[in-house]
Amino acid sequence: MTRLVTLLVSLSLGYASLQAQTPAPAPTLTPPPAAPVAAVPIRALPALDLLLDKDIVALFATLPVQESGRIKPLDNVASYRLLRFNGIRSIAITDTGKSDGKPLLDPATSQPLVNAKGKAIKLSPMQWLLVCWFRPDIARAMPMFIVDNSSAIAELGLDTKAKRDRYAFNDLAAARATLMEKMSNYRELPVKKQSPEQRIIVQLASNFLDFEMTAGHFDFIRSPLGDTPKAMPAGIEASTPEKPLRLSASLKHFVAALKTGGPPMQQPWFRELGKSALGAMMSGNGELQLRIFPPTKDAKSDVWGGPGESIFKCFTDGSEPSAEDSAWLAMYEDLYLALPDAGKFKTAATALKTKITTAAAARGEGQWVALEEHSMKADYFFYGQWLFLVGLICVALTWPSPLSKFAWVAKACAWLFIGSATALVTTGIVIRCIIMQRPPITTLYETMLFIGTVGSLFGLIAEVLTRRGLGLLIAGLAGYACFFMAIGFEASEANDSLQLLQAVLITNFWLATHVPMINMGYAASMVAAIVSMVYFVQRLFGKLKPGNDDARFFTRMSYGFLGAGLFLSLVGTVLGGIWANYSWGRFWGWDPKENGALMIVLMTLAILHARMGGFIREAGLHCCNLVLGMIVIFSWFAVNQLGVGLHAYGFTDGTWPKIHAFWASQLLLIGYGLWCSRKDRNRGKAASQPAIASAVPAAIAE
Amino acid sequence: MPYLRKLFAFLSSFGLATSVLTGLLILTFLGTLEQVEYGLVESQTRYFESMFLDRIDVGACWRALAFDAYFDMGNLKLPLIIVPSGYLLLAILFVNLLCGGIIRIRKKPQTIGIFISHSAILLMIAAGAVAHQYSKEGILDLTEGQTGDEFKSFHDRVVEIEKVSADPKAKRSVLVIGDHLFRDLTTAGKDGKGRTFTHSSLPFDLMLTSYAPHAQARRDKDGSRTDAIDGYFLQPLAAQDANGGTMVDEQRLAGCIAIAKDKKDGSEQRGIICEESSAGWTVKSGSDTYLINLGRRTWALPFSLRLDHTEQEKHPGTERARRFTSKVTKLTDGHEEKRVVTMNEPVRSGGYAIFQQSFDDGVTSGTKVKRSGFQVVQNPSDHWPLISCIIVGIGLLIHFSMALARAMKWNQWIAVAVVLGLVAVWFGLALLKLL
Repeated sequence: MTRLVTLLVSLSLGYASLQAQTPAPAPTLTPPPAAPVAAVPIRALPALDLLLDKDIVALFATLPVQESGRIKPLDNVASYRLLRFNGIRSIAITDTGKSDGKPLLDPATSQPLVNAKGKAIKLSPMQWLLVCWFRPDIARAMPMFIVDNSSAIAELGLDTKAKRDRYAFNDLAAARATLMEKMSNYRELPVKKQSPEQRIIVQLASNFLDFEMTAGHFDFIRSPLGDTPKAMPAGIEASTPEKPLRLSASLKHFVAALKTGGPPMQQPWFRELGKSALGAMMSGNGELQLRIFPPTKDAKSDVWGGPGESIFKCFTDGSEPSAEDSAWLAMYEDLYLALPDAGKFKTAATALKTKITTAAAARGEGQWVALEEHSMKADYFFYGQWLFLVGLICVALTWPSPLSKFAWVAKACAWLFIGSATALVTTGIVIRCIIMQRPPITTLYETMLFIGTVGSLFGLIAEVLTRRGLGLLIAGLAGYACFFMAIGFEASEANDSLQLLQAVLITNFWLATHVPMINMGYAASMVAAIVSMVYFVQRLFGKLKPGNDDARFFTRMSYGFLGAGLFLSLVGTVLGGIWANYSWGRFWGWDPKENGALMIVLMTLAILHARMGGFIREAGLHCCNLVLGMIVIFSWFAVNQLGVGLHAYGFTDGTWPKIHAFWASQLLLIGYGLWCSRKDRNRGKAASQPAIASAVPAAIAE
Repeated sequence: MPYLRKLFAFLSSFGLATSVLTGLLILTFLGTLEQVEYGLVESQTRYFESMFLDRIDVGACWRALAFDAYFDMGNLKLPLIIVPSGYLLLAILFVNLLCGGIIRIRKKPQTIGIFISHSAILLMIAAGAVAHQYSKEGILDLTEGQTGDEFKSFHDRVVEIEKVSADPKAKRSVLVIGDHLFRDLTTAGKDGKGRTFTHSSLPFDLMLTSYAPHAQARRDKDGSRTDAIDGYFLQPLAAQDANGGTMVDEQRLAGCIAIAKDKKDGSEQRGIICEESSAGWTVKSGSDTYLINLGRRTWALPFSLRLDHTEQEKHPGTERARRFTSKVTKLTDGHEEKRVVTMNEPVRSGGYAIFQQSFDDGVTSGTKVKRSGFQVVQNPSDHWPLISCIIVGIGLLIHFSMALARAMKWNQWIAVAVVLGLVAVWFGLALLKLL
């Protein structure tokens, strides 16, 4: 079947190329091309209100589907699709895709699409998917494809908007052939060799095709043979409002026609039917196709069926659909045919959902769908991020007058916000573990969540022990920075962040020991670096004097985190080697990620030995901590960008400049730190007394 | 004696420890960056497994860090003389640890954690040295139904010289030249660099020259090549994969020119030997025939392994593997033993560990035959890192919990007891889970 799907997709692209050879009218954005109208509409278009109805949205949002190998709520599919297309998880029905834009007109009624208050309608991912499915005419006019660089649009020969702006399907449709042709050319190049514009075009084309299939999801019942069917196989009657053409009943006739009519691609009707079936799949990528029918007869099969697959299976096998597939397909058709009547539609949707959830439950599947939907709605990490920021502001408010009552209140608020944020993000991580039934870290994204959470926990523990505000600052900084990064990273990846594991990683014991430990090592080392950053910033503003009580407190705290970092990194790294040795037969393979972890261990050891040897004092120690922070960032992010080794997760645009910027900021601080160190030494010599040496914490001077 | 005392003071000093650790850190950093253009094996050999570092490719490191987006420094290589590389630095670290961390360290309750950790690190370095010197690691590829009793190294290449015997049952005897003795002969085409190997049992001396890490023997179609041998010449190839990245060492096919010079009459026979060719090069000397091959080093297993059945399980609806399983039969002196190898669960027997390394369902490769690649490892220090890790962890926990207790003015021994108690509980739980 994969071959047939590939053939259809490539034919679809080829068709676009053929179109490109004919002189096309000059592309224009205004007025937009008219949306295709079905020649024989079998159902009146539903009112938008029905698709935005709370009950309907909730019904569909928690519908279990199988995608990328796991059972998840349909809302998850909608959410990541919209994120991939639009860059954010919401979209307004306006000419800009934002709430402040001009509301679009309903193509069916020419009335502005506004809510009861007369304002633009903002769609959630699930609402957006329902609009795509049941009102594709509106969806095609919504500017939902985010383009980071308008040069890519100019390359397609289209009029551009702002440098970073959104385009609607209808805007791009004029250049469809060019888009497909360029995608075919560019994706032949290795990703690292593609220019940013080329990467944008490849992504845009992929999104364009995915949207086309999403919007055509119900074409298999809406207009299975196209809007204006030209040729019909024998025994098949054209769809009419009274008697729609239902594939659940007529697939066998199509299969019979295929058997007698020669090769599929030479059948005039097959291309249109194939396109409808591709829409029913919702993606040309087998892993991302919509699988919504749990097998009810075959308990051994763990692959769910879907409308697209049910149709294609008949063509590839040359067999009639099974009774089970026909029943599912008929039910799915009933859903569409219930439109535009709100009551009937709700009943059909409820029946479908009940059947799916019952079938899934009978197989022991889908038990975490509601929890996942709750987690998506609760959006723990998003709210956690903002609470961390508010907490940080509260910490900052304590600085002007640390001993005042106001500072006490601000500190209490900081505790409340940062503590709540830590609790929220911890809950989010725990829920992810429950859903996936595995330990918390398996991807780069999850390291950000985990390190942010552990960093804030470390900060809070330090605050409990020391009560000087620095722990709160660390907790807020670590939490906010990590979750800010994580949310940005998730948006740039726009793939389900709950991924199934590769065979080599499926071992919960090691995932629960080595991986968290090494990441806690990252967190502790990073916290030590943050303490040193704060140390130098405070010295810069004259808040700290070398060797005084506050400065020694900073040194003691960073030393404490260095020690914790050494323990966690060293044991975590060695545990990783032991895992590799017992699972794959090699303890150490000099893989870049392994080397990164080793570098953290070596740097920490070098700092501690240099400190014990008296080669570095207060400022020197903090300078070294900053280098350690740079190494952590190298190990955490940069090694993945090298494109070699077992941990190369892929090349992400824009990661290197961010790493360089961080390194540059640290080098500036180190430069200042070295100047401080020299000044301290000269002052020490001038005073001819070992004042600074006494700053060596008791913990170190054994 | 004062000199010895000074030497001991130097060898046990914090200064030496700091310098060595910093040196190892820099080597690890550079060795990681150079992997982008030189591949893992070459960087590993240069930075971590040799005694001295011959050069640093600053340009390659610069590009690996993507600094070329701001300034392209071109191909800048920094030649070095007497700069210790990883192997030597680890040896120095071992001595430094022994002298400073074990012998010289002040023996008092506060340093017990450090003492324990240092001892464990010594064990870990020793484990690495033992593994480096004595471990064997290679691949045994089997198709379903096939039996094998030897495995091939991933990276070690050798030139094998074998006298061809008329009796197929005669015991085979092969002379082996390791690639550390000839892989530097890459510039021979330009300045004639070659190396001659001799052995009393051979009627000829064998000179190896023009070594290329990745090469192919090609036909000299128009006869214009001056270096052609029997109508063929050795064409070095760029070690790049289809995506333009550095080709991994396992995919490279090395080649070189071999010249057999008769010990009696000085007559020469020239041949191309390369991994690409499975037949080898035949050298005649009187009535004797010798077969000379360039290939991966092979080792014999003390038992045979037959692959009975292999299968791959995928995550539902995807092409992503969830599990690989190989059912094998271990054959020892007519005795058969059924075993199962899966990803993460190797079969261990007779000091050898057999891991599922790769899988071919025969569909992707088009062979229609299922195949399993088994990584075979024999490592005398197999379990040392685990022991070392546990000890070093306990040592560090003792030390840092005492340090924290001192800083917080707690009772340090109670703190140690609590931490170790928690570790014991954790181990207990882990053990329960495992059992």
